[in-house]
Order: sequence, then structure tokens, then C-alpha cells
Amino acid sequence: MSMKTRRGLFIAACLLPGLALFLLFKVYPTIQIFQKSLYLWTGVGDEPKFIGLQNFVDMFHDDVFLLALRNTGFLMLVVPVLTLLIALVNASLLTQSKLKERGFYRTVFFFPSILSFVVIAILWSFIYHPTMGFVNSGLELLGLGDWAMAWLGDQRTVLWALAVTLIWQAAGYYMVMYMAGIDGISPDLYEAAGLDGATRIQQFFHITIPMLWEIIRVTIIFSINGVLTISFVIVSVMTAGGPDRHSEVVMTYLYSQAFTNSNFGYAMAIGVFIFIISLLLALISNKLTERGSH
Amino acid sequence: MKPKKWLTTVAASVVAVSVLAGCGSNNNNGGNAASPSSPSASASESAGGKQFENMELNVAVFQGGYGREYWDTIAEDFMKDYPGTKINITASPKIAELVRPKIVAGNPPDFMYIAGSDNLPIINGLIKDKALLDLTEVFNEPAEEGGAPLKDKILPGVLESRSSSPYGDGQVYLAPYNFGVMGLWYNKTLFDEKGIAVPKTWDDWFALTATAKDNDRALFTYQGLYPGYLEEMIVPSIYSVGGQEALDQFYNLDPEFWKSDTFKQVWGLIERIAKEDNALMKGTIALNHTQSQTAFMQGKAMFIPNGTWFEDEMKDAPREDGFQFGFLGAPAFTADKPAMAMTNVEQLVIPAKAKNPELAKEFLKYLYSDKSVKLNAEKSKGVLAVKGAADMSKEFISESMYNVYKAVDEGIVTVNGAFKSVAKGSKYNPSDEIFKPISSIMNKQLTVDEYGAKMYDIFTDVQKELEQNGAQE
Amino acid sequence: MSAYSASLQSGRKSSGGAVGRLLVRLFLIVQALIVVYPLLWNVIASLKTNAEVMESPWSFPTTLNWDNYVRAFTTAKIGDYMLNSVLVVAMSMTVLLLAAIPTAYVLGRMRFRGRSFLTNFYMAGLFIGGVYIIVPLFIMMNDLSMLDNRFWLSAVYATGSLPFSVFLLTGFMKSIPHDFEEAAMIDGCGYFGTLFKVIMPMARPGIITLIVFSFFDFWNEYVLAMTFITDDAKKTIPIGLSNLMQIQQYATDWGSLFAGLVIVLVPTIAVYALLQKKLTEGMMLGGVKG
Repeated sequence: MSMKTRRGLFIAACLLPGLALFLLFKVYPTIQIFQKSLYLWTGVGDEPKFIGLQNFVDMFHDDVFLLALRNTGFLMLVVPVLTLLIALVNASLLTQSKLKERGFYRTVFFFPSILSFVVIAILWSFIYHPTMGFVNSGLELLGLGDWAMAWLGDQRTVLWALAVTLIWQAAGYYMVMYMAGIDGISPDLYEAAGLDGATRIQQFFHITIPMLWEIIRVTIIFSINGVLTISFVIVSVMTAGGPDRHSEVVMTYLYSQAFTNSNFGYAMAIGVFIFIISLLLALISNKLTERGSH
Repeated sequence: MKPKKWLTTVAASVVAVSVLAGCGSNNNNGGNAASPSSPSASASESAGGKQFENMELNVAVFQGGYGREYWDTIAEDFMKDYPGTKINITASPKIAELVRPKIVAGNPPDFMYIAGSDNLPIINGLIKDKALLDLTEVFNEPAEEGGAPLKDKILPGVLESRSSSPYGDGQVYLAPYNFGVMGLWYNKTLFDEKGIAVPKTWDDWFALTATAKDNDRALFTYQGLYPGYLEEMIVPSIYSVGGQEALDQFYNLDPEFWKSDTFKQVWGLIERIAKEDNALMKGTIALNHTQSQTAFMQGKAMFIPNGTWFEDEMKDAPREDGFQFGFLGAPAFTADKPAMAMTNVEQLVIPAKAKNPELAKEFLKYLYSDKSVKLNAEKSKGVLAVKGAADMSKEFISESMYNVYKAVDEGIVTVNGAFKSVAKGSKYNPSDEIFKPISSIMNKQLTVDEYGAKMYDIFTDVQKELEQNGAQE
Repeated sequence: MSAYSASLQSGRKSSGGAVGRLLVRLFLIVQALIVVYPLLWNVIASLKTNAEVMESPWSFPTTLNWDNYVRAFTTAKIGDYMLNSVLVVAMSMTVLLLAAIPTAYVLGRMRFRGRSFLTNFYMAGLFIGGVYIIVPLFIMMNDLSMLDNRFWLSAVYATGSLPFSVFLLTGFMKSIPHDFEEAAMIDGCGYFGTLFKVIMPMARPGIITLIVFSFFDFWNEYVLAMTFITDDAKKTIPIGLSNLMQIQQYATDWGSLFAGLVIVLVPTIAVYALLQKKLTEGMMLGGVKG
């Protein structure tokens, strides 16, 4: 066997297991959603019927879908921005303030990110409980009882309430990532900036953020995708999409169209749409941040 | 949640007064007729006479407020009476999620008890796909050797209703299980001690906001996350104002309903609850069913809608001193009309593709035996939709529950119905479309007029879809 | 870090340093409380009676109701669910490593036609999340009789993590100097020998990072397990837990719901305490190189 064929065989052998899994459990279903999104198909023993782009047309006349899309968009914007901001601030505070208990904070802040989403959702639905919840009884203790409200029951607050839960869950995770990045920044840079009279805040913006930029870019994409996945569990357990669907997200709507209403074709059309949107978002955020790094 | 939503088509039948009055008087007959051949006797006959090729039965049951104990026990009894048979029970609150893959795979359970609003859509799907076994024959056969047909044991009107006979052709596809009565509840002790009269009309009811305040509570709360519970007030009210005609319009998904006077009056109640001072308990909209029910029992609200399963469901929940369940049904709009309540019957089905339909049918019949009716009352505190069941169950069910059945007996008019199916592939789910936005009315973020206009549009669209794609075949 | 920067900081901070430090501490302590409180409350609630749970979030139980725990264990079969979770995590991890390491090695260190296409192909996979392909996945697995099977669930999990793992490890692989390989090849190690004996040890931090990243993903996954596993005896922890919550909601037994949550929390905390250092180290490496 020539060196070249051996090399070729080795490459093939290495790629094969991964590719097989990837094709079977990712690529094939993805092709399927694109194909079957063009069918009227109500599952349970039903023969799919080709209807062209009708599912997509319906989608944009479906008020519930549009509302779900808006809610998801809100979460995909607010949650990553706040999560990453909090993570960055905490990371730079912890790495630079040299507190003795820095390890303790790192441990504590990181902890929520390893908890099961189900556990988190159950706990937070009790935190927001209108009467016995920590938030409202806390407000009452502070004499702000008038501010107490049904956080998950009011369309004005429900998305923010869910956003807080999502941020609580993820901020520590990204913080640890950033701490690693900051530890990798040469201390000389801060020293030089310090000699030039730059304040801490200036250092944060002019050294920390630019030096971490590549990591930040990656975490933005992770965080956006994270919101898509986690919001499903959080919403199903905490609000069931309520009140009046003001916390419905595209994932819960897709799932209920597929498995409750048996509209498989329509659900797949929604899947296609989300797939394209999240791909576009990633490209856009990648492009935008690319410019920012120079 | 509880059995809440009705499946399939129209139905809206008024199973008036007679339903349980009937059972009361028939009770002795039914009891006597049944007692000579106890289930074990009939079983030994069956075991001798009937041979089952397949002795294994897979049963899937909803594990809700009624629990699973009844099913475990009745299965054991059945296996004793039919030696050699083996029953496997799968129970879960989300039973639909468990059986769905098996149904899709063409390998459904042999027998299913599906209830709870999360699970019911699967039954709807099976009806749409004509994937249920025709059970008419089971009910035409005698309940015991040489006796009257089984259908004579069932509460009148039930087998004929759309919830048992979904295609309207008189063939029974869904067998009745527990019979429930739903409406408003109150704390009887409070009313007795303070001498508060049970309100007869909605005006009386709203007048109690002041009384409620004196007693340090709100007038009303409901299962906020699941506004579907409000149908227990809304449906009887539709009947009370507009009669059967309006109710038919409502359940037939007729858009014109949403422009009618009936709609405005009935939903006017919702708006009044939202707007009147001290009417709606603070925070209600964010509460799930057990949270709001607990709040009610702790004396934070005077009324809550719920069904006959209420007391059993909440048996572990904390409550205010002396709390006693009292059932009111739904008040009328004018004093000359009777109070009303809503009823429902849960369903049992055998999928058409069941591996062992013969044994499944035998099991179904077994469930209607007196022994089973009593066992059901004892273990799940449920009352089967069988004549005389309430009295047979009396020693096991709570007084409050018995009283509800009694109240129905004594003249509360009961209403029942189910939405007509939407078009195949439709994204609409009538119950969700109608009840979910009520949260926004309660939040004062949507007016009844806006809501009505929205409903009109939705149901116009639903009708258009029905014309284009046809209903489910 | 170095004494250098420390001295620099202390120099800079001598004026408002103490106050600044106090503010920073206060800020961090408040956040720590927000993180810890819900968990603490959970533990306290798990020892309360139903009535006490409903009373106030600040109160303590009058007596410790350990039977909440007994009920959670006996009625909810938490132990069985845990065993299933362990099994699924172990299988997923094995499949993932077997697939990801060779792929990343080849993509990161060898030149061949189609390499950049494949790299981008996997990158695109980063955006194919679990839920939106769940319908066709479910139907396909049904056709292939893969449903209700812990191994195939694990294979789906592994595939779900594959694009990210390839992405992460490829970065590591690229950073290993080429000299090592050349030396190994000259020493007569074959391709596989080089991969296993030279590259894998060098990429160990990356692999550990990968394990750490994936562990909690596999452990906590909910949607796929809920859809693909129907047999009660094969369910994993998150499903068992939500089942427990459903049942508890019907039965209004909050005490044992919270006990169930604590039972699940304890091993998570234990694993975290043990792995904490590795975990954050791994995260840091992942962060830096990724």
C-alpha cells in the first residue's frame, strides 16, 4: 500500500463514524423538514399531501405564530446581551480585584449552569408565585407591597420574568469562560494602561473587551442558540405559554403543533423557518462583530 | 388538570334533571338485577366459555386526580377472574406522550383511558383517523348472561351523545367512564356561619364582593394558567341566556355567535369580574390549578370553578379552619331561571389496531360491573356514568360530592357539549382560541368587543378552512 | 498572577481602594445570594409540611418532615431514573469521543480535498438544534425501531454535541506543533499510533473540556428524552422529575416535590464539588482556545 492510499484510508476511517452519525441524526432530518414542510400532513397514519408553500403562507397569517416569533425574538435579543454583559463585568471584577474569595464566587456563580432546566423552572415558578413567592413577599417586607404583582400572569412582565431566569441560569457559565480569557491577557497591557492613567472602566472597554473579542463572538452565538433550546423547557414548565400566549415561544408552538395538534407538515415548516433565521442571525452577528474587532 | 375538554363534534345535549333522578329510582332494580351474578360468577363462566387466543392486555391510563389505584386493583381482580390473562398497566399524567409513539408505530395499547386536556388531542386524532374500534356491539350484548343489554345500565343520553358516538351515526366508539359535574364552589361553613345566602343570579353573586371584603377575601379566583376552567361558568351561562340554539352555535364554531347578544352578556360577566373592585383575587392569572385551588381553600377567595373531583384532588392541601366544600353550579341571569351546572363523561377507547381487541372488550364490560363501580368509587372517588352509581358509591365518596350529584338530582339543569372538529391540518384549536385570550380580558388588556371581533375573524377563518379542506373525513 | 500586576494594582488603588473593594464585595455578595437563595429555599421547603410551604417563603419548618424524602423515593423511583441517566451519559460520552476525536484530528491537522467543506458542514450543524428537527427524527427513529431505546437516545445526544465538539477539538488540534507528529512518524508510529500515542495526550486538556461541556448537557437533556423514551423504566432524571412534578401537582404534595428536587440536586452538587477544578480549568482552556 502506498503512503498515499494509507493516508487516504486513515482519513476516511477517522471521518466515517462522525459522518455517519451526523448524516443520520442531523442532515437527514434537516432535509426532511425542508421537504415535508411543503406537505399537508397530520401524522398518525396520514398520507402526506403536497401543498407547495402553503404552510409558509399560513405561518405569516397565524397570529399565534407571529406572537411566538416576537416573544422569541425578544428573548434572543435581551437574554444574550444581558447575560454576556453581566458575565463580562463579573469576570473582570473577579480577575482584577484579586479578592481572596474569588474562587468561592466563581464556584457559586457557575453552579446554576449545571442544574437541570427542569429543576430551575420548578424553582423559579415558586419564586414568582404571586402570594407565597420570594419576589412578592420580599417586596412586602420592604414595604413595597404595592409593587407586588403576578409576574408570570401579566403580559407586560412575563417575558422579563422568564428572561431573568434564563440569565440566572447562564451568566456564571459565560463568566468562567471570560475569566479564562482575561487570565490569558498579558498583565503588561493593564500595567501600561495604568501608567497612562486609564481608569478601570476605560481598561475594561479598551483592553478587556477587545482582547476577549474572539471569545465574545463565539459566546454570542452560543447564547442565542441556548435561548432557543432552554426557552422550551422554561416556558413549558413555568407558564405553559400564558397568559394568553404572551410567553409562547416558537419552540413550544412548533412542539404543540406537531405533537398536540398533529400538524406535522406545519410544524416542520416552522422548523425550517427557525433554522433559517438562526443561521441568518449567526451570520449577521458574526459579520457585525467582525467589523467591531478592528 | 382534569377531564375538561370534550372531544369531537357538536353534542350540546341537555341531560336535564332526569339523569340522576333516573338513577335514583332505578337504583334498586339495577342493583338487584346485577347482584345475583356477581362478577366472579360471570367470570368463571367466561373463562370457561370464552377462549382468548391472546391472554395479554396492554392498558394505558391517565393518572390524574383519580389516581391509578383503581386500575391496578381492577386489573388484579380481572386476572383472578380470568385465569391466565395478564394485564400490563402504564399510567401517567402525560399518558398521551407515552402512547403516541406506539400509535404512530402501529402498535397501540389494547385499551386506553385518556383524559386531561394535555392528553385529549390524541383521542381527537384517533377519531379523525377513524382509528377506534366500534364498540356498539359490546353495549348491545347483555351485561350478564341472559340479562338486559349493557347499554341499559349506562346513564340515559350518554351513549347517544357525540362524545360517545362521534360520527353521529349511532355507533359507539368511545365508552363512558367517570361522570363529573362542574360549576362554582364555595366554603359552606363560611356561608352557614355568616348567614350568607347562596346567590341565585349573577347580580346576587356580584353583590357579594362587599361581603367578601368584610371576610377578608376576594370574590373569585380561577385556575389562571388554564383559563379553560372558566367554561364551567361560561357554557351554562350561554345556555341560560341563549338556550340550546346559542350553545349549538358556540360548539359548531359559528362565527355569528361572536356577534350575538348572548356572547355580549356572557362575556360581560368576565369583564365585570375583571373590573369590579375586589372581584378577582390578586395574582390569579399566574396561578396553576393547584395553587389557585389552595388559595381558595385558604380563604383568599369566595368562589372557584371546578368539578366533582375537587375534594379528592386537594385532599392534602392546607385549608382555613372549618372549611367545607359547597357546590353552587352557575347562577342564572334572571331569578326566574334555574341554576345550572356543566357535566362531562370521561372516555375509554380500544384502538382499531389493538393487538387483542377481544380481551379488551371483555375488560371493558368488566368495568361496568357493580363490583367495579364500587371499587372505582372507593379507590378513585369517581362515579361511573352508570345508573345508580351515585348511590352505589355513596359510602366511598365524600358528602360534598354526593351532594353535588344530589343537587343535580334536585333540579340543577346540566349542560354538556363538545366542539366540532376543525379542518384537517388546521392550526386552530377552538378551545385554546376561545379561552386563552380570557387571561387578557381579566388583565384588562383586552376589551370584550376587541375579543369578540378577534373570535369572529378566527371562526370565519375556521369555517373557510372547513369548506376548502373538508372536515376530518 | 504576577506580583508585578498585584503591586501595580495596590499602587493604583491606595486612594479609593478600600471603598471600591467594599463596593465590589457588596455587589458580588448580593449576586451570590440571588444564586444561592433559591437552592437554599428548596432544601428548607423539602422539610416542610404542605401548609408550611404555602405560608411564607421565609419561615422554617417547625419539625423536620423527612417522610417527604421517603415518599419522593418510593413513589417517584428517583433512584431508577438516576441509574438510567448515568447509563445514558456514559454511552453518549463514549460515542461522542469515538466520533469527535478522529474527526477533529483529521480536520485540524491534515490537508485533503474537501476539508474546508467538511469543516463548514459541521459548523453548519451547530445551528441544527434538537427541537426543530424533532418531528422527522422521531418519525425516522420510529421507522428504524430506534425509539424507546437508551442506546439510540445516546447516539442522538452524541450527534447533537458533535458539531460543537469537532469545532472545539479542531482548535486544539491546530495548536499542537507539527514537530511532534513528524517525530512520531519518523519513529515509525503509524497514523493511528500517532493519533493515539502522541496527539491524544497532547490534546488531553481539550478532551477533558469536551467531556466537561458535554456531561451536563447529556445529564440535563429534556426534550429528546421526553419524546423518544416512553417506557417508564428507561426514563432519565429530568423526565422522571417533571413526571414527579406532574403527579405532585395532581396530588398537591409539595413537600415531596421539593424533596425530589433535593435528591436530584445532591449528586449534582457532589459531582460539581469533585470536578469543580477540572471543570473550570476545562472551561478556561475551552474559552481560550475555542
